[in-house]
Amino acid sequence: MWANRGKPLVFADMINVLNQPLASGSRWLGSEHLVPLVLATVAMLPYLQTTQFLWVNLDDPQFFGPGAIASSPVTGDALMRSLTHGGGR
Amino acid sequence: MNTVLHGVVAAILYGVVRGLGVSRVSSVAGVLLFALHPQRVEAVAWLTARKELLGAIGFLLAVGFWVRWRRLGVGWALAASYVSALVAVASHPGTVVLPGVLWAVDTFVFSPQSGARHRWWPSPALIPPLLMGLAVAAMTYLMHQHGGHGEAEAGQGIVDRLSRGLLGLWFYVANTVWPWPSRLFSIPPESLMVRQVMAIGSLAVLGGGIWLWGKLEESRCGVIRCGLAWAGFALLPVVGVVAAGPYLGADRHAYLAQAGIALSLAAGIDLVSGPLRKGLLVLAFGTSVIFAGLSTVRCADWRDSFSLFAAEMRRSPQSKIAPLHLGAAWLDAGHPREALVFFEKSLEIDPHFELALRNAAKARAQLDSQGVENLP
Repeated sequence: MWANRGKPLVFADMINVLNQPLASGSRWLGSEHLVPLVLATVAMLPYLQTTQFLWVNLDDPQFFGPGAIASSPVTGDALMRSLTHGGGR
Repeated sequence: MNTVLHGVVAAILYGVVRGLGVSRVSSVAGVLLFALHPQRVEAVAWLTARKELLGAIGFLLAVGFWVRWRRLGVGWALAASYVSALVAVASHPGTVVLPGVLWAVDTFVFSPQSGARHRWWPSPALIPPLLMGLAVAAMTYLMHQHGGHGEAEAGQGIVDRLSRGLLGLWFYVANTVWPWPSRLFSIPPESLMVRQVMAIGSLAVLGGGIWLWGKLEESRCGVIRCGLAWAGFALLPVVGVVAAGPYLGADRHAYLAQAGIALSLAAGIDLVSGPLRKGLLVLAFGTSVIFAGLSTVRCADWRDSFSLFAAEMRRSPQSKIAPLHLGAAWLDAGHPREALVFFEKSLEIDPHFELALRNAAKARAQLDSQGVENLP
């Protein structure tokens, strides 16, 4: 139904479409309406590694603060190099 | 949460691009280039940059509802656009350029279609978002004056501002076109010759943009013009004309501008047909895949302050700012001895760096209070 309306999609259309009952015959799960959902999902892909923050204990030193240094080769390496360059302290 | 908000931005941007009449596949290509570009990482992975995402959601909704109002003439869409504009300016002061973008939509997309005689004259409907933008811009300026940026602003003449703006423009253009490797703290180079090259490069980009603008056929290229104007407006507050620190710019500030570029690119792909169109689409999707990989790698740096500033130290060994921040992270974590190592590293690069001197003194004072034997 929407696809035949001949009007371009704006966000308001998405809301309208989602509000329509399935029985009305609207193709709210048609490909046009899946595109924004797929795009949103793809946009989130590079950042999924950060979602660990959603469920870990924020005070856990394994994830934050100097505790993370010990488990991170990147930061540990940088620390050691700077210690060396800083005069061996 | 930021990740989800970024996904929402991508979905709304798709709606806006489609609403302006771009085909589905071109819209997808444009939005993917925007959403997966490595310059997005700072805005998405840094918790404090949530304002960018909330501002972008309000901004894009305001544009989307405005387009809806222009197409269908329904009053509720205009009201929704105003409410979204309020959300945008309340979230991020960079969105004060919204009236300019709405004007670009009217002037370059709708006026040519309707044959309006006074197409350059702004619509009275722009007054509410304009007032909101002016109020927030004035408040932001006053807060900057009293919040530490007053010093940076003082003594800035028009030539200073324009030359700084040219360097800032180069930062954004260069990072948009070639976003790797990342530089967290980009400060103006000390070499005068490098500065001159950057400024000439920016002038060339401006000249090329104006030339392209003139070449674009008005009736067919309205959306491309609208996207370019959108990007230009979005860069105005962040390019460095208003001094707000020692940096050339920041990746997160490119968020709104690149949404405009994405609109132009998507509309540009629609202009051509046949093998050229297919080639451009393949190029856009291929680049998006590369961007996704680069963003994933860069995102790992943003795990916490330690990984972020250590990565910056690794990439820019001569940066005095990266060790300063890494030292501050150690100081915040209650480890003044480690902090002092990094402040001294910063002072090795610039012995007169005031912030490092101040922080090193602070770290020494904390060590003193813990006992003399802890002194390095």
